[in-house]
Amino acid sequence: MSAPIIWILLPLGLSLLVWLPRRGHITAMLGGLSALALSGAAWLIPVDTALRIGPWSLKIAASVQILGRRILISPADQPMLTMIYGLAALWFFGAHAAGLARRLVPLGMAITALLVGSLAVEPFLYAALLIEMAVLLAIPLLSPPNQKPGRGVVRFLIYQTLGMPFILFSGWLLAGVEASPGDLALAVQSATLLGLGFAFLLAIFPLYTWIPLLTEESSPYAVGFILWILPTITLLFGTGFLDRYSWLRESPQMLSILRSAGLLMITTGGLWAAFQRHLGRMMGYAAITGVGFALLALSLEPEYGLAAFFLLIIPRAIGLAIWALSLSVLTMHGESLRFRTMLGKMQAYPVASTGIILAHLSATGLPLLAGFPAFFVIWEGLARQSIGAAIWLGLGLAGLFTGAVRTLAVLVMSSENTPWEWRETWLQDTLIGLGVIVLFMYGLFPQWLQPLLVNLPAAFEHLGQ
Amino acid sequence: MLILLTVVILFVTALALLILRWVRPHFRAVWLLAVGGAFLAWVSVFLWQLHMPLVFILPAWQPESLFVDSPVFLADNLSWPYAISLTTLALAALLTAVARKNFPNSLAWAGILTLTGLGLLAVLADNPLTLVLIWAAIDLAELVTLLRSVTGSEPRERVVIAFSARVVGLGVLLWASIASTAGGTTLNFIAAPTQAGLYMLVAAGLRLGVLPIHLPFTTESALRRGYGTVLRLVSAASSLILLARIPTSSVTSPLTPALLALVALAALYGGWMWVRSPKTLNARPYWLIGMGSLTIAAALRANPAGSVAWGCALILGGGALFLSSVHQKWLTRLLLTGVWGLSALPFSLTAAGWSSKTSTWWVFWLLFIPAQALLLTGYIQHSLRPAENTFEAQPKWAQLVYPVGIVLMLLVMFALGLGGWQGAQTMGTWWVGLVATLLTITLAWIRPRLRLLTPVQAHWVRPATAWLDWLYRGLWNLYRVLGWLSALFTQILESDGGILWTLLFLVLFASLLAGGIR
Repeated sequence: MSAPIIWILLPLGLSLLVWLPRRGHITAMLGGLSALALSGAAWLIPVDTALRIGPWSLKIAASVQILGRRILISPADQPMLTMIYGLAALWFFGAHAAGLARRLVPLGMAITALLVGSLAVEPFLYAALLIEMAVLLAIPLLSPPNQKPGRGVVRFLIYQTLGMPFILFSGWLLAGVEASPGDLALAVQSATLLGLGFAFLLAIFPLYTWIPLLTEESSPYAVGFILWILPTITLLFGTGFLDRYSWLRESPQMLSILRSAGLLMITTGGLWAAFQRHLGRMMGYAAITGVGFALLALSLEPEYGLAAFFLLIIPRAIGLAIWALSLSVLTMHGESLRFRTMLGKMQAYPVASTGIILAHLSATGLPLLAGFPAFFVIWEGLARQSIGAAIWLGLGLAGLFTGAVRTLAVLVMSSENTPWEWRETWLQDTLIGLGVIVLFMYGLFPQWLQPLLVNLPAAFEHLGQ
Repeated sequence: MLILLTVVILFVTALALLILRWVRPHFRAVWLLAVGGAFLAWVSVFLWQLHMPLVFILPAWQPESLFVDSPVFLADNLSWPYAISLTTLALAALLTAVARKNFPNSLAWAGILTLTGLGLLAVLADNPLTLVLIWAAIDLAELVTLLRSVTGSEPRERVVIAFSARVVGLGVLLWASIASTAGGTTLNFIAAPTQAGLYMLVAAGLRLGVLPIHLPFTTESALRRGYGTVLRLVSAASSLILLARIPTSSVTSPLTPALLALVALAALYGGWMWVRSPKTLNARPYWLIGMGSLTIAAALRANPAGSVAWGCALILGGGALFLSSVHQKWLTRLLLTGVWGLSALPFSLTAAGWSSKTSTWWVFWLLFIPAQALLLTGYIQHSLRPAENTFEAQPKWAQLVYPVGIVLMLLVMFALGLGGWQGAQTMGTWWVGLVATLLTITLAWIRPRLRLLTPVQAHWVRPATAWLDWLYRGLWNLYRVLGWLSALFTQILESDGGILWTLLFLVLFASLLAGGIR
């Protein structure tokens, strides 16, 4: 038994298994429990250490060889697996309430397994292939087989696929840089290609046009899942690069590029959000700013930045999940997400509307909500480097907040004497309600998840020190 | 733990009221329960005096490498007067509820107790982080309760606008913290850079509705007198405490005289509108603007005790006036005694109001003294107005309970002038109080004889003056132009040729970045 089999191959197999049940709630429950079990296993079972269970002794190997390539999951990676599968479980449990369980759970499980594989494979060159496979699996999730793919799906596929060759090329060049570290031209070329690859994968401005398009034409919950898992894993993958190559890590230019890219994402995403008239697009732009914050965190001093980066992941995932589920509740009832049709809908969907508003406010960093602690420390860290950059960040947040206020106004502006209704199901109410409670708890007590977060930086040997 | 005790009493009572409303809607002792909870909380605040200063620390935010501060609450000589004022307000609101048409209303009472609990936490906040957390809680609570209270698209739009204005104030305080960090110091209430101090002033002003001068909410008339009053005054108190906490050194700036002039004008405007308004509840925003301006002015003159004095006078004086809904000769006379607390005369609550640790240009007195006099005249005028109900029409037990609520507010106002905190038992700048009182007497005598000061019955509620209309229209047009530009840009990037455009932009940005980095 080896760790890659448990956390990569087993979920791949499970993704087929959870496809079998015909009822959505069974699929969601099975998928959620499986992901939770994988998360729990990553938290409890030690890797590469003999484990005595009564008369038996069990040792889970850290690596496995497949076709000459090594897939390695070290003990230091376990907290990360706990987090990834734990958050995936959250999405799977909510899939039935979003009416998407039979598509999202199997495909989502497979995507998660492949992306975990991309973090574990050595040499990293092959990660690009695994990411591409995950992207291809995302297509049937975003565009059901009986539906013609929209522009957003096509553009998503194009941009993500364009990222792959850049990563492959850079991997090839980086091998040369390792061999002759003094070759500056080669280092610049490889860094440029690497940057372009990540720009496509992370949908850095202006390559994020697929996000708002996708949020308009696909199921919000499916898009939400993709907007959570792809950037999160890509960012972890990118952090691995920074950790591995000291010349990259210590280069002031790299930090400057990360900062500029992050600020561009936050400022443009925030300002664009201020003018949107579609609730789905609003979520898309908020997701863009979330990635911007993660990039900014990585541009700060290594220890501070990495801690801020990990602090950001969980609230971002929870916020997106609540937002996407709430939007799905509206679309399940045949509602268009355009502002003009959403006027006063809070009277009909009070819980879903509350979910949308609070998730949006959390994405703007409103104190008391989950997004605030991470946003605040990143903002402070940035201000220590440059007050000008902090102003740009504030501008982006102001734009995002304007979008939140407009959403709030649209949802609550009902005509006189409109009766209150309760069109959500009890499951939707419960899940959104629980999510909202978590948003508040995390906003007030960010230290509660510290036992999990404290070990995450250990996965990065140099940055985490 | 005493801090926790008070807050828990308030929250648990509110929760009990909600549960009872759900489980036993016809439970008869619900008012007694509410008043009992408020009374216990009120008594417990007096008990704080035995162990002051009191500190209550929530578990530290982690990782500690990121979070310098954690939520901390402190009861000291500056926060205690606010705490006792707020609990008195809650108790008075519940006691006077017996004379209101919507009696009994356990939902509103639960709201009053919850808001008071949050308000207490806000006035006890010992660092900006704690304060922004509680501010956000108050804003969300206010948003939810107001949205439940009003119907119709326009009133609700106003609620959203009010919420966003307050969050902008919260954002300014956050920015003060960021600016302070950029300067190399962590913002706290002990030391803050000058720039951060001015941002803190603006934050308090924005949340109070003083800077810029906010418009009256026509929706407020739809709110009930008791709950609406508590909502407004708790919000004000939670903002005003910041003024008392701004370090003295942080408000010394070349900009201070200009800010002082702006605040003086706001005070005059508030006083003028307050004295001319015929309906007390509708004039409530002007009371907040006027008294809030005096509070800010004290902070600008490095006088935290004075700021607390004006803030408490705003809550207690305003509370007594706004909660009073029954007409009775003796009660009106009692209300008039509240003028003493607002007069800034020696040993009154506001005696410390005009003290100053910095020199004040004499021209400012020409603005502030008339402003105070106008506020006092308005107070007298609103105390004498005919009320909604007559005292005799109330049931016997209500005739006994109702006056206690009003008297309690006034008693606490007098008591705070005599002891319990650092601004008590002081002569203050007595001559300013004297001049303001004489001017008030003159104005009160002139008012019925001067048409200019006679309240006008129509048009005053018009929500915006012409220049404000123009400003709002201008801002809206700017927003639309920017929206049009954004839509155009989005259309280009998302159209069929969007990929090419995107790649072009990518090359452009890459070359720009490369240039910058080189």
